[in-house]
Amino acid sequence: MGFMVNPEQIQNYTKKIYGSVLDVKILQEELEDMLSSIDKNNIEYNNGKISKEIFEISNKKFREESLSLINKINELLEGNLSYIKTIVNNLTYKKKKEKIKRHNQKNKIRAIVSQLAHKKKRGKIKHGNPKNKHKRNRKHFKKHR
Amino acid sequence: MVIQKINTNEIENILKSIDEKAIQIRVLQESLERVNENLKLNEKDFKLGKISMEIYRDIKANLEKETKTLEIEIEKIEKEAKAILAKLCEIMNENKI
Repeated sequence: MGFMVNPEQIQNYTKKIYGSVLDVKILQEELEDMLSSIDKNNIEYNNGKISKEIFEISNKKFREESLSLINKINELLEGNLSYIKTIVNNLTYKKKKEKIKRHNQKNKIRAIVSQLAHKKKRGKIKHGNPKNKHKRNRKHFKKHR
Repeated sequence: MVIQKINTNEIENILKSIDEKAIQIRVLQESLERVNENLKLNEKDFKLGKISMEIYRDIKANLEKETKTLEIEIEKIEKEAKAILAKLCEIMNENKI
């Protein structure tokens, strides 16, 4: 048995995932604040407390920052998904290798079978007892006469 | 505005259980390796004439039984770990915006 699960390696990945999840939470809180700022800005403009120019400048700034936060959150979550994939691969490494080995063996057998079939078609392989070769030839001769 | 935030406690528990499962699998794999070594030793002893055929067969049967049990156990834990990881994937996807 060559392959063994490496718990330390898996622990490294789970630590990375946890660190990233904490970052995601902080970014989600920041995003929440940003979205509230957008709402507030809207209300202030509707109540006539700020001019259209200031509203538009603030609105653009808040939206851009929100978008950047959303991108960061999604990137971190994507990173976590790739860590999870690596953990799954670490758990199933041996089986995968065995599967590939079996697949290669099957392919080899298929290649040999198809080669034999090809040779048979071209008449390189003749079935039956080689001692009865003359009988086979006689039949063939009769058929074609 | 309120947005749904990631549950760090839930994820912490999930990650802990993944670590535990990895350790469990490793321990079982080491046991399996020992059993395989014993199988080889048993065969060697028999070939050298140190043990009788009967004893050899008995030991072999027991060790093979143990191998099967360990393999089943490893597979079971592996499945559980994968189910937990699938749940973690779901949480990550849910939190995407």
